[in-house]
Amino acid sequence: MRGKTFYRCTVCNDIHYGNIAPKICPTCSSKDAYVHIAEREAGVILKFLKIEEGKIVDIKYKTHGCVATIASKDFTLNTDKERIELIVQGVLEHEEQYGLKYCPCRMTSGNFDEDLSLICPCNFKIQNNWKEIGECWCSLFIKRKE
Amino acid sequence: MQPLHKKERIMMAEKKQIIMFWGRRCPHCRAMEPIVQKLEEEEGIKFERLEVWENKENADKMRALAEIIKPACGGYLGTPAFYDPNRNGALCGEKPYETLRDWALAKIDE
Repeated sequence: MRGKTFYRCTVCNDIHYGNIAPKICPTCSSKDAYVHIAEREAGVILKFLKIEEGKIVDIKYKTHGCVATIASKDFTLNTDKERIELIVQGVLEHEEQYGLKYCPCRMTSGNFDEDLSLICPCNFKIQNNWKEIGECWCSLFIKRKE
Repeated sequence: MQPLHKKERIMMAEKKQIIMFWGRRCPHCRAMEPIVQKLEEEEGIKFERLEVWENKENADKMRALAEIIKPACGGYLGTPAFYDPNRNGALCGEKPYETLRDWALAKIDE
């Protein structure tokens, strides 16, 4: 096994990152259409990178505001506006500084792969905080009241 | 854990220096600051505040204590994390005044 890598749908150019290629493309529904591609190719297709005069140039990919607009059936944003602003400010500062939207309430370990679990929104439903008090670790997301 | 009398608490506090790892954009850390100040004033507990996102040295100090802090913070280097060097123990997250006080003043063998 290659480990996690990039795959491209040869029909619609959908990009998938994972251990294996999807059998069916979630964008165009084509079967067995994914091929393994290099990280660089994925970066260019996703517009994180561009090639200028044969050289790769990083494009600052900003997602300002998107953190605060994510919500689901069973969770929503905290109603404390001041708290939200502080957290989102922290998340965006981390994206600016480290390239990833690290949680402002958990320090990075220094291990890149391990720290991927700190990217906001994280997999907070596995955390004790979610189970016990119905909040993600930083309290940006809270359980919806039934 | 048995509650301590005021005099006993002061005696314990005089020997105490708790390290507080905190983050500049962490709302829990902000919420804990008045509680920490109150504990300093009323119980005489000393807190050494170490900001971890802006100060690399502080971040490394926190990472060096990962084995102690992570289990207290649900498996992460969460903030705020309180570390007691005497007991080599940690308490993590937003806590009521009484919880932090009792933890900070707990005896080494507890």
